[in-house]
Amino acid sequence: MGEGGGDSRALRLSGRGTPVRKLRGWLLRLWRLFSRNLSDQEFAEEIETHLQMQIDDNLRSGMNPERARREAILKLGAMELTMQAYRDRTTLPCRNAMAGPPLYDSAATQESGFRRHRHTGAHAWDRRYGSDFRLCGCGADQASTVSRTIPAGWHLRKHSPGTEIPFVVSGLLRFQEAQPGLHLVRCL
Amino acid sequence: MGENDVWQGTLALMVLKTLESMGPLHGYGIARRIEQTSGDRLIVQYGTLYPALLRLEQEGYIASEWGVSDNNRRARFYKLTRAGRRQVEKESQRWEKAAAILARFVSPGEEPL
Repeated sequence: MGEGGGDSRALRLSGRGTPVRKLRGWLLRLWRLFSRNLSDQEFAEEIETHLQMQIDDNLRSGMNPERARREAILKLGAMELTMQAYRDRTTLPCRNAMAGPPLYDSAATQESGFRRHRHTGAHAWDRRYGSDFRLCGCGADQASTVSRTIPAGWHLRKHSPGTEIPFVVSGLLRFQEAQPGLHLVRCL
Repeated sequence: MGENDVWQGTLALMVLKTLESMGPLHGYGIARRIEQTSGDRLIVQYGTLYPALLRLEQEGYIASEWGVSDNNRRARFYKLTRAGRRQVEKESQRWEKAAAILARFVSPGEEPL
């Protein structure tokens, strides 16, 4: 006799927690869509607390304040990745796709409008730095045409971090050729 | 993955077990406790800890609330729920079973007669 003592509901009952918990998780994610700022703010505060606690521990272990902070930041690691992983859990997957219109029109793929583009480099970069810096520009290795209005708050940025172009572009931007290392990103 | 990284899929159980034995803890406390329990042979990547905490909370195994830490810092404390206690028991059994099976491959003993 199987689990459940012959009860015809035994199989269904044995796994009943999972769908309910999944539904609960999805409802919470849906709810967080509407309280996104609060959620982000709380998470930032939580991480800040974490950092401070690590610094306190480092100071107790005899490091000087400067080193204590540096070591703590190093241990905390890539914040953008952490934030992104956290957001992936607090939002619906389709929202991320909708949130960042690609502003991208590749001559090679002829993709345009509000679909996420297929340029694999973009996804790798996106994964590396998180969607706080969503890449939307033309690829470094293919001829592309970008002709979209750049919304306020979006920047042109070099591919490598820390080399931001010191001006904010708005209005219509047009590339006729690939511009290696140049990408359109949004900064928080 | 480095040798000292927490193995994928085991972090959730470590978190639940830590909260079961220590009571409510903040994220930093959970991470430190896991590292200490492993004799500092494991390193908890915070980039995976917080999403894992969030997932466990979404699934109802843990709950969180803001409080004040020992050193007077405002922190979010996590605690095990009733469903979480059941899950610890279930996952511990599952893990023990899996470890026992794997042990038979890694260190094969005498076959039962």
